[in-house]
Amino acid sequence: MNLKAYKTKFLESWVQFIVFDANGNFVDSCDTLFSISDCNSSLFDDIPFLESIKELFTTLKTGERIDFPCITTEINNYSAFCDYVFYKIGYQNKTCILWVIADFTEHYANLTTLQQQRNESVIQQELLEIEKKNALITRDFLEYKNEELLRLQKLKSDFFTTISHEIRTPVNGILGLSELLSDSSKTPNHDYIKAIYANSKHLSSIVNDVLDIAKIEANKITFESIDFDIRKLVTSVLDSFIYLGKERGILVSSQIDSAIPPLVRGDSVKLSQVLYNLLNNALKFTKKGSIKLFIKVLKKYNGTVNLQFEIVDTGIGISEQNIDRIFNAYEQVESDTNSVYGGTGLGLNIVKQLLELQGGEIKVESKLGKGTKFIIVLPFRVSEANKEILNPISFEHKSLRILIGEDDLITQKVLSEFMRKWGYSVDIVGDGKAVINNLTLGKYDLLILDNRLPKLTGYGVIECIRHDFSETTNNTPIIILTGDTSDEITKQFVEAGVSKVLTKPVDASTLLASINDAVLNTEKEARHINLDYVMGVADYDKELVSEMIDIFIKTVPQQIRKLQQMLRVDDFSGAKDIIHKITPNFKYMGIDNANPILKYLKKNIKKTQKGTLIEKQVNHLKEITKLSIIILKKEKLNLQRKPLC
Amino acid sequence: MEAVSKKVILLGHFGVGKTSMIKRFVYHKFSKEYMTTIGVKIDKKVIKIGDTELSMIIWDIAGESTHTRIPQSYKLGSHGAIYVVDVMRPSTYENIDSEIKSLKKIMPALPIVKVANKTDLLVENEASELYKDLPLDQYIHCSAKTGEHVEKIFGLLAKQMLE
Repeated sequence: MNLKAYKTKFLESWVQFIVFDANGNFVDSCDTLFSISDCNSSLFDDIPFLESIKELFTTLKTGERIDFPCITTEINNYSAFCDYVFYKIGYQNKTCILWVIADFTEHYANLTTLQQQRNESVIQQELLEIEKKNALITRDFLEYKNEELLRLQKLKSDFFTTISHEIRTPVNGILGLSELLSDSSKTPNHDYIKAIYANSKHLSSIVNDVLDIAKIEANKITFESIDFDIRKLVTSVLDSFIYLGKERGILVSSQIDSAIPPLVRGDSVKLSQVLYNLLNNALKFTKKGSIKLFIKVLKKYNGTVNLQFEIVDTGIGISEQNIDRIFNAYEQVESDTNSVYGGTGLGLNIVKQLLELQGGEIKVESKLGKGTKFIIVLPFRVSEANKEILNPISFEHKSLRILIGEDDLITQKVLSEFMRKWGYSVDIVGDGKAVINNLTLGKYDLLILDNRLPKLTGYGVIECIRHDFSETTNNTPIIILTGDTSDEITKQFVEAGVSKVLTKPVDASTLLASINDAVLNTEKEARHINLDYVMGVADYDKELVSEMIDIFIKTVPQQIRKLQQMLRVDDFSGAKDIIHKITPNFKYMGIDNANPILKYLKKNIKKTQKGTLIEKQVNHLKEITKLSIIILKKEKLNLQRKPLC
Repeated sequence: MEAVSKKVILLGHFGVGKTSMIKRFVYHKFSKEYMTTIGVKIDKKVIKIGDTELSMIIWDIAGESTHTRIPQSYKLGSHGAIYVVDVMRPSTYENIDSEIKSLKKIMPALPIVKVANKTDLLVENEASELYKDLPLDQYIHCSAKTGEHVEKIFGLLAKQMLE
């Protein structure tokens, strides 16, 4: 036997050759490892391995080979680890695939054992390392938690020492003063009572802070959801600070975005608490300069409005190392702040938690010696009741108290019937003097006056109101009924601040629409102007503010007319100068709804063309100015008001 | 009904549960004993996708830390791939982005479903925390042990291969 024969005999025992055609049909096999020669169907259908690679045989070129090492083979009860090699060959006059199967079961079985051991050991090692890492993290975390607990314990203990001292001082004061007052031989001293009141108030604020924080920490705080007017709330919170600020020479003012809905839904008490706390802090840490409160709409979405409040002061500021700690409870007692400024040090923590529990947030920016800015963002639901304010028809259902001055009996009858039908409460009098009498006795939501009233005409009634009545009565909307339709009469009444002039006989729908407009506009007017800024600038000098109002009334309409002329002749640079000139006037008078128009004009005035948005914006500015002047006139009268005659 | 056959390869590190996933999918069985795979073992399952009878020929390829260590011929002619990682072992998913990128380089049109296996070993909260950190933007979590999402994974790949 030659070498080739030995080689053939050696390979023959563990290598099988199978030949099949391009469609997988069996052609030939030596059947060394398993029997396949009796196969009648396509091998592609019987052997999933071949089925999955059949596409490859179409691209395989004659003489080329593809190797597949270590294939788990299970064919016709034969089970082994084999290497496969495929060749494209010519066989029995046709192109076929030669499939060489070499059985390496023993070799691969040994390899499997080794691989199993290696893999298990690597996985084990990996899991051990993860466990070790986790143990380290857990240890670090526990250490940190322990340190934090100790720190908190110390802070709480220090806090209670300080708070006990804080509480003892006013309690001792109250005890001592009460003892003095109980001495019946002496006349009660009013100053003692005032001091007891001040001490009790101080004590109450300390106790409230402690109770609030305890409630928050025990997760027992609840929040209300009620409709409220944010402007009214801010005004009432700010009033006391304006007064206190003035006493210390600090200007306290506010600026409220006109886009804020009239009514929002949320917890008004908690909002007051937050604003009061922050303004109180600002006042406490500001020796000179100003404190400003800005409120604007940050985002509106799905019936929710996110409001941003900024409280900006020119106080002592906060150092960089302290700024991260100011919201921590019990922190102030650690620092010198408490000894200088007093307080529990809980206020800002309470504020932060109250805001965060309502889905809000607070941030602080500060520069030592320059001042501090607290920025709050808080979401509110937009009240459904706003729709009622905006929908005139619903005013039919609003209960209004109306005073009618009308001498004609038939008109009296018609008007009283309308009012009864719309559900309004109405008082009807027959002459001007009686109108004045009724106004001195009660408050009305609307006045409807005949122009030619006996004893005192409609115009006479208005003059008397403007000169002799309170701000509230002056703000009451007025509708004039007149038979005289001349422009002059209408102009005279509009200048006197009348909401609407109607021609007699008036029909029901016109009257109802006019009532709606009058009441609505009055509500809008209330939000239209804010003289806080100019009052602050003028240091609450009413005469100076009146003069500034006069200047506005005299100059701004003139400037707007000039602006229109310039736009007509394409003098854009001149027009821009005017915009720059009049912008501060609107700011002084707190006419916030002019701001976006002025900004737009400043930016776009070069691009003007007739009939464009620029012209519309200028007309809009003109309208706002007109309405503002009517309100400013009323405000001026309020400033100069004499005592009731 | 149209009959189609597609080659599916399972890739991923050793010990991530590729063989167990196939066993669950094809034979509805699970064994918690770890048996390493060497080379390739092929299984077949026929499923119906709409009007198509799809033969999925699944190549269970021995696990390697990178597909570049797998014989090139194993990947030839593949119609889809499932890349499996073990949620308990960060080493199995740390480099998944570069692995996928390199696979896409040699087989740009190959649909690949990324799978995070062994979620049964995690308590619910841990799992949700962990998924945030997994570098698998479109992974599907599954458990070969409980069978959770296993059918869904193969079904999803089947649809992608037929698109």
